[in-house]
Amino acid sequence: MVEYKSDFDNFILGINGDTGLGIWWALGLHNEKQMTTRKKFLKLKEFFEYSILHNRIIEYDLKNQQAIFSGDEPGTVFDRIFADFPLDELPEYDGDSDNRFFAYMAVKFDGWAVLNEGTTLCIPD
Amino acid sequence: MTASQVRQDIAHSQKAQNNINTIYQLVLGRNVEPEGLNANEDALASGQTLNDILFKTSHSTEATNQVTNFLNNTIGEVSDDLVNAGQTMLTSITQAYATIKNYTSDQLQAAANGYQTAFSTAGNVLDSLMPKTQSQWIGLAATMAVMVTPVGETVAAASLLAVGGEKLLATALDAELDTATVYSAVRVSVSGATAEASATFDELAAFDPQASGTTLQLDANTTVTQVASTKYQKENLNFSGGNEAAVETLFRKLTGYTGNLDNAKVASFGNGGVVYAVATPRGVVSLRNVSASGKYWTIEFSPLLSNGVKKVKFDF
Repeated sequence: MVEYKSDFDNFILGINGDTGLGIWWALGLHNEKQMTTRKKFLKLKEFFEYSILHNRIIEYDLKNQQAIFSGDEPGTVFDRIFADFPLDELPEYDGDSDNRFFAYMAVKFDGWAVLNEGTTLCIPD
Repeated sequence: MTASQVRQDIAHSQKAQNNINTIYQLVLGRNVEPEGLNANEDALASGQTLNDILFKTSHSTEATNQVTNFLNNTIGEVSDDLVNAGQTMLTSITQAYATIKNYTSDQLQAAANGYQTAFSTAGNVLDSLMPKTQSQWIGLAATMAVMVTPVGETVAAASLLAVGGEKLLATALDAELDTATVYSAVRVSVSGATAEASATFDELAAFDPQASGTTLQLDANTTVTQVASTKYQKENLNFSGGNEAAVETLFRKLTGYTGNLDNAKVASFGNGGVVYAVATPRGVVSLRNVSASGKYWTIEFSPLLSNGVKKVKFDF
C-alpha cells in the first residue's frame, strides 16, 4: 500500500476528481494480495479519516452541489459516504477483483470532494 | 357472542371481501368471482389467514399459467425454479402492497426514489434480481406504482391494482431493470500485449495534460482535440469531439480486446450507463459513459501512464 502521509499534498493532488475506484488504485490496495477485503476497506477508511482531519477531503452532497459540515467525526462521515459499499457481498480475499466491487467503485462519485488550496473543490467524476 | 361467531363476522365482512379481491387483482389481474369469494371467506372463517389465501392464490393453476406466460414472453425460458421465483414475486409484491396502499403520493415517490438494487447476470435471473428485504419489496412496489401512473396524474398505490398478474411481473422486471445495477460475474482478460496497444499507450503518454489544441486520431475518420486540464487535475487528459464508436475503437486498441464488447461489460445501469473493463498484461483498463458531470466518456488506467495520466476523458 502506498505511504501517502509522507507526501500528502502531492498524493491528494493525484486523486483530485477520482472515483472510489481511482482512490483505491492510487492507494495501491489492489496490489495487497495478502490483505483481506475488509482490512483493505478499513485502510480506505483510515485514508479518508486522515484526509478529512487535515481538511483536504470534505463531505459533499453531489445532488444538491453543496459541501456538508456536519460536525461529525471523520470516521462517521466515511461511514455515511460508503454506507452502501457491498463489503459483505465480496469474497474475503481479492474482493477488488470482483465485478461487484468494480461496478460500485467505478461510479462512486457521490459523498465527498477534495479541497485544494482552501479555494477549489474537485468533485469525483 | 362466541369467538367463532366473531371470526365468522370478520371473515364475511366487507373489509375481508376487499382484501380477498385485492389479492385476486394483484396476483391474477381480475376481480374475485362469487364462488372464489365464498370459498375464501369460508377459509378465513375456519382459521386461515389472508397470507394463506395469498399463498394459495399465487400457487393456483391460473397464477402458474400467468407466470409461465410471463416467462415465455419476457424471459424466453421456463423452468420450475423460474416459476417458483415468479410466484414468490407475486406473493411478495402483494404483501408489500398492503404496506404502501395507504402511502401518500409523496411517501410513494420517496420510497421509489430510495429504491436501488444490484444483481448479477449469473444464475436464475428472477432470483438474482429479487429484493432481499421487506424494505426493498416496499421500494419495488412503490417504484412500480410510480411507473404505472400516467404522466400528470397523482401517484397512488391503487394504480397497481390495474396492472395485476402477468403484467404485474413484467412491470416488476421493468422496474428492476430501470433501477438496478446489473453486474457481470466474469471479468474479461487479454493475455498478451499487442504492438498496437503499446504504441497507443506511448501515444497517450506523449501528451502534456495541461497543453491544449493537440489532436489525437481515434480511428480512420475521427480526430479529437485536446483541452487543457486544470492545475489540480494533471492526471486527466481531456479531449473534445469524437463519438461513442471511435472511443470504443481506442479502448480496443489500448486493451487489445477484439471480442464482443458486451462480454467486457462489468456493469450496466438503469439510466443507460455502462462500465467496461479488460484486464491486460499492463493492468486494468476501463471504459465508462457514466460520470458525475454526466457528459463524459472516460477511459481509466491502473497503473498510470508514464506522464502521470490515469484518465482520458471525451466530451462529444
